[in-house]
Amino acid sequence: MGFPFDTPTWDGVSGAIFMGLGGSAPGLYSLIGIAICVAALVIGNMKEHGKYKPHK
Amino acid sequence: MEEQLAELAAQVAALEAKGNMTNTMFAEMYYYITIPLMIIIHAGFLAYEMGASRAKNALSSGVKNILAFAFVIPTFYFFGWWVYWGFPTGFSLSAGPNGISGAEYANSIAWAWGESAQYMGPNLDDQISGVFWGAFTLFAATTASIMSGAVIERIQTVGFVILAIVLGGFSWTLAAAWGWHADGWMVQNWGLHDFGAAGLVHAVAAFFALGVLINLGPRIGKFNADGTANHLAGHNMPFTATGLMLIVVGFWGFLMACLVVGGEAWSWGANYSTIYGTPTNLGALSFNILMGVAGGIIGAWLFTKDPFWMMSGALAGLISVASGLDIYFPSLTLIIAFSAGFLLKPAADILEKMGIDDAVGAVTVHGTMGIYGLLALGIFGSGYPALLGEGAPTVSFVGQLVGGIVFIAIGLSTGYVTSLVLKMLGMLRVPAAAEELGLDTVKVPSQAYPEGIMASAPASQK
Repeated sequence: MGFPFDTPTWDGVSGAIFMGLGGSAPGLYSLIGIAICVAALVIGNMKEHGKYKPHK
Repeated sequence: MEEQLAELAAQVAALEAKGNMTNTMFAEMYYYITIPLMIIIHAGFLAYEMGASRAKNALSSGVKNILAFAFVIPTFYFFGWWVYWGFPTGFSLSAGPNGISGAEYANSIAWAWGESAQYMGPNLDDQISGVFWGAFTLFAATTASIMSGAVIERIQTVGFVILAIVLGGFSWTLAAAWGWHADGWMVQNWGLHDFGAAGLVHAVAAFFALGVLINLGPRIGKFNADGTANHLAGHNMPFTATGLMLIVVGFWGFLMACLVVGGEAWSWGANYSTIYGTPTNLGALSFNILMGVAGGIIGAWLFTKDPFWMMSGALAGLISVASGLDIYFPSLTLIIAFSAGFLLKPAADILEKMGIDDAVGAVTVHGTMGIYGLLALGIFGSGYPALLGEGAPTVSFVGQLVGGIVFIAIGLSTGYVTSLVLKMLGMLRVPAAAEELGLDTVKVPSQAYPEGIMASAPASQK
């Protein structure tokens, strides 16, 4: 993690510059992001159905 | 002398480098600007749908619309972008003649992990992927908003969001891969030309909505026992009409993003082109967008005098000429758009007589008129080369017809099947009692009009 280049300077830096570059972190973040979306839908659906319950 | 020549050469090289950088920054800025412009489409859909809902459902319709926007963005990031680059040649996922499609290519640029992550995040050497992805994401979100209006006042929120994800992340993206991407099999084999996405965005989204409406059913009170329809008026027509005008504003950004800027490594040439590489410019859009909007409004006004249908006519007019905005003569644009505006209400009435409750006329505005426009270009634009270069396929009525049939099939089948699955899971329609009470009361923790809605005094009290 942290600055993905050998020396802490922007001099000579090109290409991708995001955190986690070159490692498994971007993939892990993406996986967590997908999980958050899925979980939000599952929880949202449960709560929504809870609201409908008194009206069934 | 030699020294002076060397100095001159160095100055020319420096100037050239500056010019190239200016062009690159212009290209980046060009697509970046289209993104907020397209968000105006969503502001418009938000106002339009809330106004078209009865007061008891106003906020619920808004929540649904906002969530579709929010969920389509990450899902398009995680898989929709891959679909666009992976599928152009069909389900084989093989590379096309331009070498910028197929599974291998998509794997290398469109996943947010591994090596391809370098193109899916901040990158100093790549000033196009982010803004190009952003523009496509807004195309995706637009398809979800098109479907959104048709299903208001009785669809479940999460069920709707899932439908929006399928439509925005897969259905329209597949259509775009086939009919928009230069390697797309409909472009390469049939000479399909759909510059402004009348078919691959509007018609796909609208027929997706139709597939959903078949399973969802009409709102309570929409149809009488004898099959005749009642008009369930929205609670705020001024809001709806203003929303529709905002959608028209946003489509300037949408259509601007359909151009490919020139002079870059990924460009088709030195100047603007369509996404197919065929030459065009912003002047063509300016002429034809304005004439299309005007023609649609006039046509609808002549038939209905109703501001809702007049502003829907503006959209219908624009959509009916979107496929050929790059090549139509403005007077012809006016004629086609006028006919679309004129035919709009009768076409919506036919759908209603078939027992389909499309609350805002989305299927007609975007679907019927999208296909109408696709076919119109097949008649008037026949013979135009559909791609850049020698031996390119040409635009034809048959090619446009094939495109239209495929777009209808993609939209209708994916919308119908996904909504059927949701229906079987009990995630499609709200309970009848909740629908009758109003969805804002049932599930929204705030009120649209806590102090009531101001109304004009009855004539008797004046």
